Amino acid sequence: MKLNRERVFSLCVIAFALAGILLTSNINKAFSLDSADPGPKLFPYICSIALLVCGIGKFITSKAGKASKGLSCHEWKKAGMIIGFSVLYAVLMYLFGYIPSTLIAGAGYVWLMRGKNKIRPVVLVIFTIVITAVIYLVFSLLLGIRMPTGILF
Amino acid sequence: MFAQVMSNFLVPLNWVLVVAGVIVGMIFGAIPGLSATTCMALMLPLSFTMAPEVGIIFLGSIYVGGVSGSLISAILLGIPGQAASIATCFDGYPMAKKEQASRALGVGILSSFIATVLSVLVAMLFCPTLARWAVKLGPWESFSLCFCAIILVVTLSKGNMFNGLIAGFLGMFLSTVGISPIDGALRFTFGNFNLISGLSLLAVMLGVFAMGNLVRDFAKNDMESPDIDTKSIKGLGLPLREYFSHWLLIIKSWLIGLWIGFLPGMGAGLANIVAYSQAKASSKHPEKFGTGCDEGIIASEVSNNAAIGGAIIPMIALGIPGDSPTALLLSGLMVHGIDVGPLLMTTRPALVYCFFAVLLIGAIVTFVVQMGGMRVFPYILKVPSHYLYAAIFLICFAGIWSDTKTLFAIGMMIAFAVLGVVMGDFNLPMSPFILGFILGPMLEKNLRMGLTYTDDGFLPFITRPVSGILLLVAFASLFWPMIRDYRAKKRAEAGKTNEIQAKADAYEAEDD
Repeated sequence: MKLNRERVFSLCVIAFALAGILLTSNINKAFSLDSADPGPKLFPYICSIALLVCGIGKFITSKAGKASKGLSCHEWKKAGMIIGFSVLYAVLMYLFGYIPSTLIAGAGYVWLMRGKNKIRPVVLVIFTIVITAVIYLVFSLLLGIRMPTGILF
Repeated sequence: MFAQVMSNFLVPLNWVLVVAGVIVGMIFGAIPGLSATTCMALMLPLSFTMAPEVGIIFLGSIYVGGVSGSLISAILLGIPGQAASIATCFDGYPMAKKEQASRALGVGILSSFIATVLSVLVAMLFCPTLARWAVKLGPWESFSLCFCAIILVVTLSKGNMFNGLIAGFLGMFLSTVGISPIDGALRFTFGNFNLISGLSLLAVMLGVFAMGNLVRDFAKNDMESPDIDTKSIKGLGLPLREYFSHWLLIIKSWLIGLWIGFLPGMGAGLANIVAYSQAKASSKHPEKFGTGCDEGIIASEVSNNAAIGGAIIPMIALGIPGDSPTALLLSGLMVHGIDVGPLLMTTRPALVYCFFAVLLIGAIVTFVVQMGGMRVFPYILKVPSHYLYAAIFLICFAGIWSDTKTLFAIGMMIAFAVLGVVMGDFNLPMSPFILGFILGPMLEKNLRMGLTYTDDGFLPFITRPVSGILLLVAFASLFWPMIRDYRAKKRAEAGKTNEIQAKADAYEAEDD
């Protein structure tokens, strides 16, 4: 039996479902209200078993050579780049607080997603400052939400 | 109660929110790749800080603006902003290319307005009756109803049916993280106190819908801003008498949209295609369809906006969202601690009628803004997407922070963005996932209550008439796609490929 990306994904679903079953078996009942109450394990068990059955079903019905075309390796790299930058933004926010990190992230996102478009540095700087200021003012002043301050400052 | 509802609209700030919500929703609905759903996910954090009535006013305005806004790009670019306007492209874009963009926009805007207002009025009439009936349901029926809704959404997913089922059950499984209902046992928290209250609904929404979609669009280079001809946009488009000469088509398309919108999973995305097919089939001049005729735009835009009223009936009366935008509306209520379900009509009638009122007012505001802003639309669509997308990413981060004020939630949002990309890559539909996540706790609670109330175990779920019928519908609909595919295969073999469906598929608009 040939493996294609659909079948590999099905195997991942099966593995997730098995992990779900295993983890569900470790759930401790807080207390029993009624002898007929099936307890907190029932629903996760149902979901996990249903996922297992669906994973097997998808594995069987995914015909070899007829797998859907997903993102290419290059496209995954681009997706990974944005996700990675988002993680970096979160780390910067933790270290430096909201305003410095957002100034960096605003410019970074535009730069990363510019594609073949040319970016004028002045426009980029104005955009970054304006968007950071607008978001900060809306959330912090208008809605009264205390934005992250960072551990270094 | 009338005075209580109207008092919300005497506050100037609420009017500002309605206009802002409509405009923002319209912009998101108009830009291909974004949608009303994305916009509502982004704006959920803002609504947290508002009173429930004000929050629902804001989200309701976005909903109406977003659904109506998708016609703009469908007509001016030939690209549907959302699946709801796929059929609008068929005649709207050819009409715009014939230097009749004003007429195409005028027909679309008028159709959207009429259909939204009428469908919301119908929803106002039907919701109390349906809710009165629904409060008589026991946990067995409530469980079967939720289950049926999820399965109906699953079965309408494109491609392999197991994809929809995996998405739905994954959503349900993830909803079990945290404290269990009834007995309060801790599940899948791994000793992390951030997980005790479960996975953040907002992290899921922002991650899967907003960030996940944007990352995917960026990866696939679906971010280019096309050129638009603005010369032919002038005036209001067409005489009203000429528009209303299609009254029979308007009624038929409206009824189709209302009914399809009412059924879980069959939202505006399906309604516009069905209504367009019906309009073409019953027209005296079917050959004119696809070349830029009024009837094509009317059928599509009346039906997709009629689906708004149809979709909110089960959402308000039963607490069951039929599609992604209504799921977000419902989650907006849930984060305010409002117990959604049949009792909502009796416990919070002012809130419900405030929602209906904002949908009606939102429709009027949308009409005015769209009619007045015809010349502005092309410039909105020309905003460079890398700036727009960067701004959305930043709003996502601020939004999730405002919900929990923890970096853990930010990490969770990024994780769900990855999940959204993976799900999209393997054709796992978002609607069943989000429906499973929202309805999961309700399903579990009713399941456990149903099993506790009698000694007959699972039997009452099948033997109680309403519950049994709902489960029967759910399981029967699971097998329907197989029969449908078999019949389609047979038809294709006989050379009878559905021309309109083929055209719709060509647009490759994802119905989520």
